[in-house]
Amino acid sequence: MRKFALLSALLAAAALPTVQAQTKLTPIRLQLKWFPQAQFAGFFVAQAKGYFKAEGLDVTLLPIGDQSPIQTVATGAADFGTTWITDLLTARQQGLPVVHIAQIFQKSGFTLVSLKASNIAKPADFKGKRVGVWPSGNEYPAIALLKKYNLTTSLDSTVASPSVQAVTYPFDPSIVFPDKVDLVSAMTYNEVDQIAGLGYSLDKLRIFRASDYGINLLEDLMFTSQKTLDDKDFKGSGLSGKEIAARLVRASLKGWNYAVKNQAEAVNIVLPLCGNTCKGSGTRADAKAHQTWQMAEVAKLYNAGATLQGKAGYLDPAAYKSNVALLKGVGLLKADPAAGAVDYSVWEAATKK
Amino acid sequence: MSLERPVPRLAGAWGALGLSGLGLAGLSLLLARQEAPAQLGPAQPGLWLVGITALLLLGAVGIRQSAQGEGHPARTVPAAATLILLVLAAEAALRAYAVPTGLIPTPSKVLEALWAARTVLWRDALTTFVYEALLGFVIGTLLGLGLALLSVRLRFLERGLLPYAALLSSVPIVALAPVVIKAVGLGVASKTIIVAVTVLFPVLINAVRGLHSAQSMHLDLMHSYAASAAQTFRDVRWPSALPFVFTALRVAAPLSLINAIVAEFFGTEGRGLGFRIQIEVGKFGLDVVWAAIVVASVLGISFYLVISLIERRILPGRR
Amino acid sequence: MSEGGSGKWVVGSGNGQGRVQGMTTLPASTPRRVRRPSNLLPMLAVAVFAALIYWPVMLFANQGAAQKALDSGADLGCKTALACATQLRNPVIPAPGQFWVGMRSLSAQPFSATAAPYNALVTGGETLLGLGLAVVVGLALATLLVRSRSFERATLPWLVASQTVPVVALAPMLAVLLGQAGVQGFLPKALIAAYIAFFPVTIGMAQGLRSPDPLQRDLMQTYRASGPQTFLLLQLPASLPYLFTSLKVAATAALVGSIVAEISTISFSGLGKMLAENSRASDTVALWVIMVYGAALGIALVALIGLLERAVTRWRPVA
Repeated sequence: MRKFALLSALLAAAALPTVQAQTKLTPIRLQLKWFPQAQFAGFFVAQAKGYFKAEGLDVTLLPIGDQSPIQTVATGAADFGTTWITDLLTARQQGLPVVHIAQIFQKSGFTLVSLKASNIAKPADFKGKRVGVWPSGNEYPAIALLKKYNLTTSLDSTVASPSVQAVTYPFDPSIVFPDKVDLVSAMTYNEVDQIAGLGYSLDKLRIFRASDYGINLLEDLMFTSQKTLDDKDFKGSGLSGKEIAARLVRASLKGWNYAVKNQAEAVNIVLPLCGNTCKGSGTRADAKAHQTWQMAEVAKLYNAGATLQGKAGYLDPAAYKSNVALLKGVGLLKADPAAGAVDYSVWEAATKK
Repeated sequence: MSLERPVPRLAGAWGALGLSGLGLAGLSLLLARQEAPAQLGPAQPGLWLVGITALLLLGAVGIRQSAQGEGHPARTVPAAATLILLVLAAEAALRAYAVPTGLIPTPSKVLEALWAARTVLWRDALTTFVYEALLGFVIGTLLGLGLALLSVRLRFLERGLLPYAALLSSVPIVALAPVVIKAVGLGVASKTIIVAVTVLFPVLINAVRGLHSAQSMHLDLMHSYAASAAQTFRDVRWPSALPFVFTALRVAAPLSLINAIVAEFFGTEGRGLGFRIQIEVGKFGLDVVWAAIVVASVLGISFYLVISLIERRILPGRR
Repeated sequence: MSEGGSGKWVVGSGNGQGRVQGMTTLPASTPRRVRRPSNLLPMLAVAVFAALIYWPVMLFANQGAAQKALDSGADLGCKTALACATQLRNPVIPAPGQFWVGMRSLSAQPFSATAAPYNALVTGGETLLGLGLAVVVGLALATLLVRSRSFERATLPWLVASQTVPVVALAPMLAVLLGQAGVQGFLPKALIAAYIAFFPVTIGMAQGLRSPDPLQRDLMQTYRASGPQTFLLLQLPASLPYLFTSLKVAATAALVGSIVAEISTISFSGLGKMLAENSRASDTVALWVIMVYGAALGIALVALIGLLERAVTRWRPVA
């Protein structure tokens, strides 16, 4: 049955683009974690190259607002989403039935950046400093890193006199860096280049990669709600929710594999979809240059861990276990997540592995 | 005017209210016993809702009866009962359908969070209310009054400035906040400025209108008494302007707190109710979010009532 | 809430204009309409003055930021702080040239999806739809308030209190809940705008419905007009000026509501979406441009309501 579906899908993709227009596609809303940019290149490539259509899916990629992708998926405003693992597991702890189905990035790209001139050499030096963090669930890697070195912040609503002053700001490093914070949050694939654009070339910066300090909290993953997975007939498509999920994951991974191999082409696919968000900053404002940098950095996060063992999209159980242990250690998780928090069967069905 | 019969039937009202309240509280307690698995769909569709609605209707009958007459209870009981019954009903409904805290927390969870995070919320409230809303309110009011006095003295200024004030008072604060925060910084000052700007224009406009509202007869009278400009101002213009100023202040008071919170969404140094709401939404700690909203509402209402009280003290003649 | 507290909220019965006016404003009772000279010249003078101080203020503010950046070793492509002041990539206050370039790039093709005018129109549409909804809900609630004293006593204090709740803090959660109910796209923004705007409209309408004096009512009775006839022919027309005044107050608030809703929900267009995008993309100049468009939109909305009011009051037989 599945083979037949795949076969017909492949046929449609390969030879008969006119036929697929007639077969009814299943509408799917995939909530991205951010505005369109190369961070999601794989999904945009899958869209542009017709990989989704070949699987019988009509995918709408939703840009983010201020709320978490978890909330849009848990409430059914979107069917699937991408987010970070901390976000997923804390949501799960709060009773939201969301399920991890595929791991896109195998390595954390989160960093804290300081000026070399400010003489912060190691995380223990963070004490008494001002650290810029993002709100809305994006502050966890910073908290985990700080907690590992026994530092507390004002982000914790139970701590009265924190040892590090957390400064939240709306994502743009230029608002706070370098005069209002000593350390600023930055993703390797985005803000690091934005900071460089502000006039601080990389040799003037000290970059603390969270993953170098054992805080390898996994980022971009695909997830859905338990309700979708349990659905016997997803939106009247005649297919189960699990089958739809497997198709989505399969097409997405195909898109990702293509994107990291053909980065220039992937960037060209992404660029027309950007509003103003693909631009870098300052002297490096050019959107194409910034997205090219981003694509290269994102590819590094994709081509790591399980992907190198030929298991792209697979959540390595050892990595997962260490993530859970880490989150429990810093107190963000109070107990092990329920077994249902991760569903490997979707990835297995998608990749036949 | 009103449709109700004027005969008070308080006993019946109390009975219905009590029954409804006890019923809803009982339901909540009953539901607390059974640990329902977290799920979004209704467990027994409709059934719980019917029960809760029935109890609420009973409560509505009680509220209607308790609102008869003009006594003290008839004025206060209906409002209090409405709030209590709605909160209880929300508690029961949220428990019945096992709505996860990450979506909508039950009122009891909000109370717990209010207690658990009391020190932090207190500090946040201090930052947002005292340093941002109150300070901004005072600065905006003083500036507004000052500009109004200047404008009334210098007609040229009034004609040049007031049209802009009227225009600028309809600028949405969300468009203003990112720019001001970027220019002034993430600290408390940027929020104080934003609040002051939003208070300034309505006060200015109303104060000018008020200063002009002195009746020409009174002014003529002062003139005929050969009163000095200062005397005229103190005895006629200023008193007639005050009601207008207070109207603006009463509107501005709760708004100043709301605007401080909204402005905090665009960046803080890690303190304030808006910061707390934003950071806890990201953690799905919606119980703390609602607790912060409760604190903000109580502060907003109190602020409004205090301004009203001052108004009544200063303007005893008006009701 | 004390007796004084709840008694105070009584909508305008008896004493003509009730306390609740505090949360909205009375129809402008313009005192002494005197034909005054045009404001154009003074306004122009004020504008010129503002432009003159803008330049040094901008230089001063940006110079400080540039100096700090240079001190921390940034390579800005210019040597002295003064030289950098007009070409900072993230200026505290944009230089006129920078602003002009940003304005042109965001307005050159006014109806493309990334242009500010198009997105302003989208937001304006949402706000107007929200205001329309607010009028419907406000009229219904006002009618209930005027007709049933128990409804008034049970809900009015909480309607007033709801205005001190930072509704915008609730917007993201509301949007998520609406999303669950399948309400997406244009509508959630309009609903949130309506939620923010309904209160001033409700109170304004309630005041308006009560505004006809006993004499006029008696007249209707001598004509043997039925209840609905009195409502349609006397109360409703009498409430129109109040409606427009409250709509003007509500318009800016509703605009803030729809912009916040755009920021916090899935949006493909609107000023809020542009605001979120550009604040995250470090484009300070774009934020200034959006602020100007937001201000213009707020002013335009109030002007539109003013035009509508004039059209309607001209049509009304009695002023």
